[in-house]
Amino acid sequence: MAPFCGERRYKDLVNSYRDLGRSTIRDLRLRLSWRELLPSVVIVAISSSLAVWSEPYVGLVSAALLFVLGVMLVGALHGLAAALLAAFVAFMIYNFFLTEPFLTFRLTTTTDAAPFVAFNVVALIAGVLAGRLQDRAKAAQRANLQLASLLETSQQLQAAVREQDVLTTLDASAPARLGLALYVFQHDGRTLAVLGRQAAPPGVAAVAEQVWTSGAPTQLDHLVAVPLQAAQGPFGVLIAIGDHATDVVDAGFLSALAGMLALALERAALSSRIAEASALARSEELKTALLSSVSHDFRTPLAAISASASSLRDYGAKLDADAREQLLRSIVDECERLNRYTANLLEMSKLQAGLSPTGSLFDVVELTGAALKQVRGKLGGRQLERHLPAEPLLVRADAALFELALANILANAIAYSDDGARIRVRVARDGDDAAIDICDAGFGIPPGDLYRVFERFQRVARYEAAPKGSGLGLAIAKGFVEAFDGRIWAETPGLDGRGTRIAIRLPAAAPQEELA
Amino acid sequence: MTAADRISILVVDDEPSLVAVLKPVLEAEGYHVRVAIDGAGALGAVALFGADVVLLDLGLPDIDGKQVIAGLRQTSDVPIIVVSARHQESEKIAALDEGADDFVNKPFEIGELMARVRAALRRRQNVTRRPAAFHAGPLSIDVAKRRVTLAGEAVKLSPKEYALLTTLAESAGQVVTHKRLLAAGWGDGAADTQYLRVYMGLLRQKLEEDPAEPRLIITEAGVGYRLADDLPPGFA
Repeated sequence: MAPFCGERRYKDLVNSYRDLGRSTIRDLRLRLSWRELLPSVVIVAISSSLAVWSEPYVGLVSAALLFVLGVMLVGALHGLAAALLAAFVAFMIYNFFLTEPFLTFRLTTTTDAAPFVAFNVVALIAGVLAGRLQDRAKAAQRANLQLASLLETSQQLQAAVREQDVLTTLDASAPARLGLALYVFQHDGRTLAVLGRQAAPPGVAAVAEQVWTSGAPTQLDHLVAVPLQAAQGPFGVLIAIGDHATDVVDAGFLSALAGMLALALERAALSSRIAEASALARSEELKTALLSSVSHDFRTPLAAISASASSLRDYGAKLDADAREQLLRSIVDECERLNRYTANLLEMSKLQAGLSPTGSLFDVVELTGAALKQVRGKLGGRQLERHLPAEPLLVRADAALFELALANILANAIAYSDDGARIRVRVARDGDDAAIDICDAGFGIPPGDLYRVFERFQRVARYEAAPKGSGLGLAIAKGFVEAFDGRIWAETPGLDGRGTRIAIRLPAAAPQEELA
Repeated sequence: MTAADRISILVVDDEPSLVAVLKPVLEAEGYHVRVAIDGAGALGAVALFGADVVLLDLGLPDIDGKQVIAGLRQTSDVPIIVVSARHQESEKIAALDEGADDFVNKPFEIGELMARVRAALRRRQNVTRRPAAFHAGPLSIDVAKRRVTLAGEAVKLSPKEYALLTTLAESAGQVVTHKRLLAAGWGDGAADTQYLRVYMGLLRQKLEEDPAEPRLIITEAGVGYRLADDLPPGFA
């Protein structure tokens, strides 16, 4: 974020405030810098030399006019103080060289005092006029700098989306960088409260209260307070506090800043409300998906169970032994499927609700064996290859969820591959991680879906008749693995140039933990 | 069951577990069963072999079941019974509007499915040769004489009541949508279902033993009405 106006311009801005701020009768300010003194001396020296040199030829009056010219020049160029000094010096030179008695500072006649008065009056007029001009110029410069700094702040505020961003931008604005503490008070309908960071110093809240009630800006020596007015009405109060706060900002400048600030804060509040609403909508969407999944995924196995059981009851006598056996098997299988689906749904809801799964130390090798045992009955003609290490490989995670996640992945590998295809399960230590890889030679995942398969209720489209999954298995695996600082991803191909590889990495338990 | 041997049923479902149940049981009933696992397969099977009844799951892997109904209706008037886990009224109405004849909610008992299959087959016969009389339990309708009797006793019905009852009877055992009933009674399928409720109430007063718990004219919530056809004749 490159500042629109540089650091130097901020210094110019504060200097312009200080220049203008210190004295109340700005035109009569008596200050002289060395930078102004030197040219003044040169001008006085030149005009005096000319006057003294030319006096014998042009006369006293003309010589005196040359002095006046010098004083006026100094006044016009360098202001009142320089002009008065020049007038005094000019008079001294005039008195020393051009009036009798020569080469003395003594005044003999009242007429000799007239040039003294004239020089000083000229100096006064020229100085005051020049001072005014300079003040105008400085005021214009200050207005420019204010505008530039407001523009910069406005640009930064446009990029600020959240309330915190707005406050950060405020802290980077010109008044804050010039050493003022800025406090934003927001009215929430009942009380005024400081936004963000620390509480305001004592007494400031009372000023804020007063400005809020009156709706008018307040300016004290160390404090400037202005009301915040947004599109939807009064919003709060902006207060700048610091030594000589009024030197740095005035109510006008702060009001302009407050206007932009109020709009930005209002926008931040609205956009956070939109974000909340869309989060709510997303959670509603999830609920809908969950409900439709429940209705479909529960009813499908239930339909098979109900049809089988009622067939046995109503048509048992007409069916041969094989058919009866098949119906009974179907009832048992579908009950198991319902049970697995219920477990998945339960775990998904727990993960969704943010309930942290409990971590305990377990052996990945042992639980991989348990998960394999669960699915072995469904392998059919598929060839299962195991590559398990001889030693235990410990991780700290939720053991039941691990087994469920692995069983889900294995069930996918079976469901999405042909009978006779290979499935390989490999467990190994990979650096600091326990690595679990499940590869199959099945139908694979389209490359574009490799990330999406981990989303809830995502099923890979497929044209074979096969039991449909719940679309929760990989989502649960991902939720579980990530809850324990692990990683999970899908790759294609898996085995034999086709199929899928699901890779899990869980942090292996530290050696001392293994001993414990 | 020699006649049933020639009746063929197409089961369209991608759930092998359900197909594994339906096939042997339907075959045991004497039907010839074909199986399609997706919409394209269903359309192809009907085009190639024809079918007497189609049992259709709506959630198919390739195209939505409603599209299958629309596709089938372009070439065939085969009775289509939707067998679906989607229980939303809107889904059922959409499927019926596309041309499905009836629906069965998953899960179901096999007896219910068989009754729907029989009703569909009967309705198909009714369409081809319009019967002169309907019988549903104690209810008899003599179409030629416009005479309705309940357990032998004549029942006086207004023309609108009669129109509604015959519409239900033509599809006895099957669901008849509000739209179809409104079209039959008021000539406008988009008429207010409030009228329909009133007339169904009147019909039930005249035909049902206990109008509060009707057993003859059954409400299919949000979808339509069904005239029960599997009541014993002595029931009243």
